[in-house]
Amino acid sequence: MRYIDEDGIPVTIYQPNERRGGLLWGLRQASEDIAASRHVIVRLFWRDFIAQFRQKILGYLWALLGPLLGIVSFLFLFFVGVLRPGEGEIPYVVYVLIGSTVWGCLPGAVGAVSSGLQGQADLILRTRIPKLALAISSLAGVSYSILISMITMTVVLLVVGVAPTWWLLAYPLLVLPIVLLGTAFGLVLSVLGTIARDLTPLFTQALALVMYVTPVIYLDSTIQNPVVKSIIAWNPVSYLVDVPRSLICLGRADNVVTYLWVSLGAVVLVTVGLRVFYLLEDLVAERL
Amino acid sequence: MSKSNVQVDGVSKKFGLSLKSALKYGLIDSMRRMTGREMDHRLRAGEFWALQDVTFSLEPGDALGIMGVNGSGKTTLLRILNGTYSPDGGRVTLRGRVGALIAAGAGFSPMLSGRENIYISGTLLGMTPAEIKRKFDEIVAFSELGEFIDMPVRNYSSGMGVRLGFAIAVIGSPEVLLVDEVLAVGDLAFQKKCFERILALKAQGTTILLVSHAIGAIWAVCNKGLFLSKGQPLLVGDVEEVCKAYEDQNSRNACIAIENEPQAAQTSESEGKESLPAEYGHARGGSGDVQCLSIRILSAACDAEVTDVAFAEPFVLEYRYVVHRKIENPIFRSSFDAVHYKFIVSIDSHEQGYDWESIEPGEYVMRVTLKSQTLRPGMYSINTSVVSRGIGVHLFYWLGAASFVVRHPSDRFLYSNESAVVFFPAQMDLSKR
Repeated sequence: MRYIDEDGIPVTIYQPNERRGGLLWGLRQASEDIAASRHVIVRLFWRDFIAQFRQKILGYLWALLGPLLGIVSFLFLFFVGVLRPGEGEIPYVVYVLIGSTVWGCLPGAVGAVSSGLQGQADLILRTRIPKLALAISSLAGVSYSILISMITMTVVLLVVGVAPTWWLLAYPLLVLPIVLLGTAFGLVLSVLGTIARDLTPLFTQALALVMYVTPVIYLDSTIQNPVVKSIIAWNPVSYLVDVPRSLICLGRADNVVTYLWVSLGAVVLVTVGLRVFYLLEDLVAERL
Repeated sequence: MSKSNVQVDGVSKKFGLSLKSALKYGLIDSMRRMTGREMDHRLRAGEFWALQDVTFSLEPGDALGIMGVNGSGKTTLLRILNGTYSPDGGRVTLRGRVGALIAAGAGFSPMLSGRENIYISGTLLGMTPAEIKRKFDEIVAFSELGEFIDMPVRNYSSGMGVRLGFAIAVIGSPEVLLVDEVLAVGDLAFQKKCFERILALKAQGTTILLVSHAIGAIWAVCNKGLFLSKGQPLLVGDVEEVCKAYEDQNSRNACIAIENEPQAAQTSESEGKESLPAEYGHARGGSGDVQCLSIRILSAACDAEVTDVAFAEPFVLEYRYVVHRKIENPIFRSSFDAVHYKFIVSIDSHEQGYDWESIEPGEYVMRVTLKSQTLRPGMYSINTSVVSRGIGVHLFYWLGAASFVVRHPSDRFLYSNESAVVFFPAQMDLSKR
């Protein structure tokens, strides 16, 4: 607990079980922690970003070149005709590229947040940075990937001959719900995964299974099995992937209302994730 | 009355003894918390108190030296004060900004330059970008890196890296400063500068908590001391008193360790009837003519058996011998070993002017009174032997036969050198020419 006393001096109190607030307390505490640690979050991202391009001939060009080179093979497969499994409103190569890019935000956010504490063990043990700031500082990298993927998507859309809609500019907003969903799971895993180290790999495997019941690389219309169709329909991630893709490519999408409800659910899950995080965060340091 | 900068009330912390118990109780505690139930504050099977019921209070300008052997809870206490660990009991109140030299060098990226790392590490230590910019030149000057500040940190020597980390951490002006064994960085000139900086902060009202095994460092900086043993606060108070108690306890621990050694544990319960190895290389051995059964340390004042004596206090060594065969011209000899050195003292009956023509078979008791010993505080073990003048081998030898502790005197603090073993009272005059 921290407060400013009558002399204007900050007072910090440490005692057992001080994180005894409710769900909204978690949100308020998170906003305070993030505001107080904004410089730390920026500086940690800046450090890791800069360090990865040092001692490279192309330097910062790799920030753009890496993802662009990644899609060359994708376009090659498209032009030689390998990626033409079926007809849909959206060309398959674009369908898969955007689908997998949006989907990638989920494991990306889960991985970044869940490993945030274990990856910064030294800082946890030696500094007084709020643990939430360390857990979510890696999300800055996810945000950076989202911005870069807007460029790669534009390149592919133009090469394939599909004019992107104005929704492409809203891409960061469109994928925000799936990032929040990943953050919610990541927050829980960041603390529980430190206590029991096999929880995070288990969840990562489970996430790979969820991808199979999400229309990321296949067209929903090609699924004939009614059970699988039903699972896809009940899978909330389906909407978080499909709606942004349709909006970007077609300017319209079915199930927007469901998407909004799922987005609201993601916000609720983040709130719950924060609560769990704050309840358990003090158990983390002694297990690093 | 000024308000305390640091108030620690009954703070306790427990840990699991093994990874298995840490996992088990971690999951149980997680479930309890998530279901809104109270935590279990009792010690459960497979747990231990790393810190138990620690209480102290520090005013602005106080410096507390935290002492204890490895595993005594020093680092745990510092981590609780730093907010790393949450206490399982009690309460910590810190008034003002907290700086931690345990965080020196935190977040350094070897690929980045010293300049860039100053901004990173400074931010991680709680400085704002504007504050770092303002103190940048001071940090560079303190670290003495000069033109190397734009070189990647990975090309720094270890000393340069540590100096930079220390400079960033120490240039802030916290109200509470946590220091953990980092005062021995860089060369002597840099270490001097670090001490001066810390003393300057102390003079400005910063409260300092220093963990160190170096009693000299604690004595130099601190006015109060806390002696922790197995998580328990054995003594809190004046730094010299606590230093003395800590060193005396260390000496006792060394004594116990020696007594627990298998070789030293060979007692003479069979009253000398067992056969001794007639060769060297054992803890005890000899020709079988004579055997020392026991050595007792007695207070010269009351003749009671003791395990430790005060500095300069006379004491008596009482030996019990059994002589199996007549010995011509016997010489009784003892030597003392200190922790770091062997045979620092030799007490030989012939050297002391005591000669016997012979001794007949039978049991004997020898009392050796040390009237004016000036052994420095510490642990000493006793070796003893019996030889016969004219015979070039030991009739009996016993290494580590007994041990005792010399305690610190109450009227002075013998702090200067932990390895020194003898104190010489000296007259000292200083005159300006």
